Parts: sequence; C-alpha cells; structure tokens
Amino acid sequence: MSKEEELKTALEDLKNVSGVVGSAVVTSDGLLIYSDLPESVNKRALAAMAAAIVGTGMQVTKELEMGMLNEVMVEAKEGKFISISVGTDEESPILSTLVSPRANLGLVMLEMEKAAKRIQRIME
Amino acid sequence: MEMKLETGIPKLDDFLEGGIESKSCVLVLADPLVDAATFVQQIVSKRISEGDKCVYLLTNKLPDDVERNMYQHGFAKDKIVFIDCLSHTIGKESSASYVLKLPITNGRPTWEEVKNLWREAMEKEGEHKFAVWDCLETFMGFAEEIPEFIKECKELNEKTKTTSAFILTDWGYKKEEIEKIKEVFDLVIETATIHKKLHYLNYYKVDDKPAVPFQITLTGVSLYIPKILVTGPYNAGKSTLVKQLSETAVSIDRLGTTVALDHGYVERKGFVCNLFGTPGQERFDWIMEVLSRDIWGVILIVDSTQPETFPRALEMLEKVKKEHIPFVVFANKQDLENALSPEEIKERLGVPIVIGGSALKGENTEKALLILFDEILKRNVFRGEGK
Repeated sequence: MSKEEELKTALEDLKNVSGVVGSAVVTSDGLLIYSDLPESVNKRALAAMAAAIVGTGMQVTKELEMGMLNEVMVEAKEGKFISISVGTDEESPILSTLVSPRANLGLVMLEMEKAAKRIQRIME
Repeated sequence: MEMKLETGIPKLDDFLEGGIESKSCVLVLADPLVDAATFVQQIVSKRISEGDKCVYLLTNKLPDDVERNMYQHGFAKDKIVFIDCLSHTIGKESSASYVLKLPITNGRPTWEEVKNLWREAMEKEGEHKFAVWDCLETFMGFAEEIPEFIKECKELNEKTKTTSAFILTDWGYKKEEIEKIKEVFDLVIETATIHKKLHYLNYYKVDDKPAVPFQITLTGVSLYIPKILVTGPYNAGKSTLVKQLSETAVSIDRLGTTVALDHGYVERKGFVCNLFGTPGQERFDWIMEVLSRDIWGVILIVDSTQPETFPRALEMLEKVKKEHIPFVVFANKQDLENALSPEEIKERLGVPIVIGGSALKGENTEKALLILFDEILKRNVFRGEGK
C-alpha cells in the first residue's frame, strides 16, 4: 500500500466511529496532506486554519506554562472541530476531525489518538 | 539553425530558448512516483495544437487509456496515430493503426517486432510529426542495444522530419546502463520526486538549468510553489493582494483587520501556489512564526503613500526571511496621487526588487508573483536532493 492509501484507510477507520463526519491531515505549516471532509469544504484554506489554531494553542500553553497541548476544540451549535498534533514536536503534522454535536466525545478522542499514532507510523 | 518546437511545459521553453530542437531525440527519465506519461502528453497536446501529427507507441497501456487521460487534462488529442503493443496480449480488439501481434514480453522477438513497427510508422506517417515511445523500460533487458537503436532513431528523425520523445522510468536499473542510454540522446529531461513529511513534490530538470517543481493538475503540467508568504505593515493591502490572486481566498479577520491569516490557493494557467498572508500589527507577530515555516518565498507589501511604515516593513521581513529566502517588494497603491515611485521605494528600503502596482485593481499583482517564482527557481533548492 502506498503512503497515501495507508493514510486514506486510517481516516476511513476514524470515520467509522459514530459521529465523525470527516478528517484532515495537514502539515504544521498549513499545507493539506490528505482529507476526507465533505466535498463542499475549502480544504486547503481549512488546512491553513487548522495550523493557525493549533499554532495559536501551542503559543497560549507556552505563555501560560500549561505544559504540552492536548487538543484544540472549536465547539459550535452544529458540530465540533477537534485538532490534535500527530507527534510530539511543534513541527509534527496535525489531525483535525469534524464531529457531529451529539457524538460520544470520549470515544472520538480515543479513536483520534489511535489514528494519530497510526499516522505517525505511516510517516516514518 | 534548427527549428525549435514549443513544449507547453512551464519554464522548459524558456530554458531551451524556444523549445526542443526539431528532429531531436529526447529522453524523459522519470522517477517511478512521477506521472511521466501525462508530462509527455502535455507536450503531445502542445504539438497537436501547433498542427503536428503525433505517433504514440504504447507498451503498458491501451490507446483508450491515453485518450481518456488526455481528455481529463483538457489536452488536444486528435491526430494521434497509435502503435498498440498491449491489446493483443490481453485479447482485446484494437482499432490502432499499428498493432503488435505478439505477446508483449521482454523477449527478443517482441523487441525486434516493436522496433519494426516504430520504423514502419516513422516512414509511413509523413513529415513534421512528434513521436512518443511509452515506455522504454519494457525493454531494459536489451539495455545494451538501446543506444544503438536510438542512434538509428536519430537518423530516422532526420530522414522523416520527426521529433521523438522516449519515456524511461528508472525502477533502479544499473547506473552505467542508464548513463549509456542518456549519452546518446540530444536532450534529457529528468523528473523526480522528493518527499518531506508526507508531502510529495515533483520536479524536472534539464542540463545545468535549475530544477522546476511541478504539479500535474486538471489543466496539465503546472509550476508548483507550495508556500509563499505575503507580509507587510498594517493596512498595506496583504489580504487584498491574496484575494486578487485567488478566487477562493479566505481571510480570518475582525472589522477588516487580519487577526490570524489569509489563505489563497492560486491555480492559473501554468502555475499553482498557496499564499499565506500574515496579520500586520505587532501584537500578532507570534503567528508569523507559525506561518513562515517552510516558506519558499516572500512578497513584502508596502503602502507607497506611507513611508513612515517602511521601517516596520523591513522589521517584518527580517522576522520571516530565514536563510536567504527569495523575496520581492510589492509597492502597493501606486494609483494614489501621493504614492512614492517604485524606484524611490527601492532606494529607501535598500532591496533588490520592487514592483509597483495596485492590489485592489490587480495591477502587476500576477507579475510580482511570477518575478518571485523566477527568483525561487534561481535558488535551485533541489540541488543535491532526491536521488
């Protein structure tokens, strides 16, 4: 399997979790690597935004000496957009997942962590 | 002097001072990750639109596959005469003008017969044609004989006024074999892929010219620059510039001031890039660090009517411009009465390239981008990368 196919499978498995609408993997500097978010989404712009919010989140945690950033969540009436770092350093890629409002968040987070580990392996 | 044939591949015609030489033999030596066939089909399309006929030999796909692929990329595809070497093997009827009646194997009889079909087509299909051999690696078992055959092809080209391109994907053949094959060609276009953090980047290279990063999009082969940063002082016109260059631009702003970033994906004939715009105010400087990671070039935009902001502009440039990353200055708002001229701004800032224009009216915005691309190519960032 090519890396792209492996990535596709990892995101497909994540999508099978109830409430997950779709996900994107982007580089820390905001370029899109792969996404299975709905067609209507401007994915390249979203990739830039995901990098900016995670970058901002990291800056906030640094400023407030809060330790390592776990995730950044954008919570809205119609859904949640959760971004986590794939790896441990600032330059690691980002996994962002769009979740429906009533999803089991604990389960989604757990599956995202799993997917992130998988993606990290694929990238090595 | 020989006539030059335009290829339609971005930058290639400039490098070759007009295009590939008529009646020459060109080798496209490809990395397995590069879609070399589409790359060459871009040239085919250009030649057909210039009135040439095209002969296309296929060893590992069907004429329908080529036609479909060319249709998907919006390429011209009429006037292609196929030499179909695959249909017989898979038991498929073929409507091609030339059909190999032997199974396509790497055996001696097949190699001889395919060469014969090529010779026949060269002789029969008239003059001023462009011929493609896709792909040569099928016969790498006869690597030692390939140089001799190419020499013969050169004579055939001379005789039948044909220009030909051979695709050879390097699956890890012996270096000496590849070198010997390269030697006999008039021109070698090498394509390769590098990948960094899962991001694949193709580039091609001819002679001692800088490598050109490219992407194959629905409109064909495009120059591809992954990331350009647009920065400059508050109210200089960064978001306007990004919006002017990209129809799908997104700005994260409050009351017209960018607070996070602008993003624009630019896809125009011949080039593709991502633009990232920074906020202008000092209180957002920390985000520039995030945005300026792995940038390829910088457009520094200044308001030509506000020279008091120039020190801030230079300070921003210093912050983002690590390791001699190429940059151009866009002297914006040239349409306003009290604007300083680009020459004056150049002197005041002490920078090499200043382009005057108007982001709002789209004056010289694309030109600024294209000049920056040239500066980026000159840096030749791929030197020593890839294989």
